Amino acid sequence: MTTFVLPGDVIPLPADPVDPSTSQSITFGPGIGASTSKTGSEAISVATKMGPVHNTAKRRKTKDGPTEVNRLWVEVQSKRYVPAPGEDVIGIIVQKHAEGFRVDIGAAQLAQLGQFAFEGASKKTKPRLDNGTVVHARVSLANRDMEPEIECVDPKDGKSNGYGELKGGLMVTCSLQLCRRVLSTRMMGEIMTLWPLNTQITVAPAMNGRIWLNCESGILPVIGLKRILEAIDAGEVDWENMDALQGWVKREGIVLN
Amino acid sequence: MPRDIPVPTINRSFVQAALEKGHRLDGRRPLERRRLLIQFPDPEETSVSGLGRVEVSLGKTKVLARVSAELTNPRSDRPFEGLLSITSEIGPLAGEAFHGEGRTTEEEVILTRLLEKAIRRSEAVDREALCVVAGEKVWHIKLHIHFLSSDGNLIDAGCLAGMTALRHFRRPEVERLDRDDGMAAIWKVYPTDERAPVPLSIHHTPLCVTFAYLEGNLLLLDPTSQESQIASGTLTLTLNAQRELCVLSKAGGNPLGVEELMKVVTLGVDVVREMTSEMESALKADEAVRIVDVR
Repeated sequence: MTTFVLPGDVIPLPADPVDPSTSQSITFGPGIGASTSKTGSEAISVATKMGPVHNTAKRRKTKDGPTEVNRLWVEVQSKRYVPAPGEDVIGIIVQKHAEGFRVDIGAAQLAQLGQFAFEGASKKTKPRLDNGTVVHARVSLANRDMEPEIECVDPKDGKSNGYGELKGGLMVTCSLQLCRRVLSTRMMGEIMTLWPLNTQITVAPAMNGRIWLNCESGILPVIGLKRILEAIDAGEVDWENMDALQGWVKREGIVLN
Repeated sequence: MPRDIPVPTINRSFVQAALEKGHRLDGRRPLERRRLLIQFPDPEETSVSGLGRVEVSLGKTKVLARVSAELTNPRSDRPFEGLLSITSEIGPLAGEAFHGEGRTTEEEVILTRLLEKAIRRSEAVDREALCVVAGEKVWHIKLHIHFLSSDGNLIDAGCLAGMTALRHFRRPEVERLDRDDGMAAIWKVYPTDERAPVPLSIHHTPLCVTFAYLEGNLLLLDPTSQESQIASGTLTLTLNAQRELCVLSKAGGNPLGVEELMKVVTLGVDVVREMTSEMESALKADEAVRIVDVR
């Protein structure tokens, strides 16, 4: 039961939980913007893009009791990333300057990465990153008409928690939709069943249409996974049908190991 | 702001390491082309109006070529020759690298000039056959090449699309009707349903083949965008199926020896022959279903 919206349509919000003791949280993702109703008295959320509205409703237990966590977004095919605070991105360092770095994150503007936005960074220990370095970061500030800011630390504990320079491996560019699918579905787990259990491939998906792949044991698993992801992105194969995917892998002559 | 985003260092070393073992990121062998797809407009919907329009895809690179014709006066110094003009356009649609503000990048200039050399200066189209009445009226053939999506090797796809469109195109019949009352003659261009349009006279079919050189003397055919960005040099040959070398273009990069160049040219001839036969079978298949002439 997906709703299809056009830009300007009011986003249908999920109904209040049946059980009154359950609280509800709603997080808006891409394609949804804030607006006011016609009379201007009420705050509403409207679609800014055309497409079906997706919702991953989950029940979670928090310290305030059970919560129904909703994440809403409009599913659109696009390649241009629009930064939103809190999202994970993979960027390429384009420029170094006195206060930090300028990073391409696939958005309309370059992002700022301050030199103190790293774990344990101080005036004495500055991060040294050359142009062309790939970093995994988190969007800390994204306002309209302003350069977005990103950081390589987790604001919760000041630790890097996986953010920072990505060494080795390969950065793959894909559509934003594929990135969201990697993050919100079982897709990656299903695809990984093609490999024997002892093959370790590290996958770092980000919200900005970039995925980083790395495998210590060789380059072929990375090339294979890249080709599978690109074929899924192009709609040539469907990951939900594993037999078809396996057949496709064989037909294309993809060497997995 | 035309962006010049560097290739990530990790991708550079990954591609290089993979190539040293003979693997390319899309699963091709070093001297293998990407899948070529030649599409004409739906023959039933467009019949005659679809002539001279073709969409060529080479992997993710996509090019649209279209040909139109116009009756004009010839140049005074060449009264027996028609005109052929080529315009190419890379819009922001083609990819992030082309989000310039109307400024033409160096890559675009090189591309346009190379297409000009490959198609116009190699005399692929018989320009004398475009003459209607010497010194009075000639055909002006306009070839527009639009780059819709870019994943490297725009030149090969563009040249192939251009040549296919020129061979697919047919111009209408024209006749001069003199008037008795001494007024200027009328040029009657026959509608295509009255008199069947005629194909252009083509001397030969030159096609471009691009090779990229990577560090360690690795040779790649039909490089993708990423591969050509990390290449130490690229080489574009324009050849035809008759083994004639029309253009050899090597803009910068590492120097090449004579033997190396001869090897590449020999390889290129085979590639061009394959591409020509693919193009001809596509043209033949379209001719069989497109109704142009009713008898």
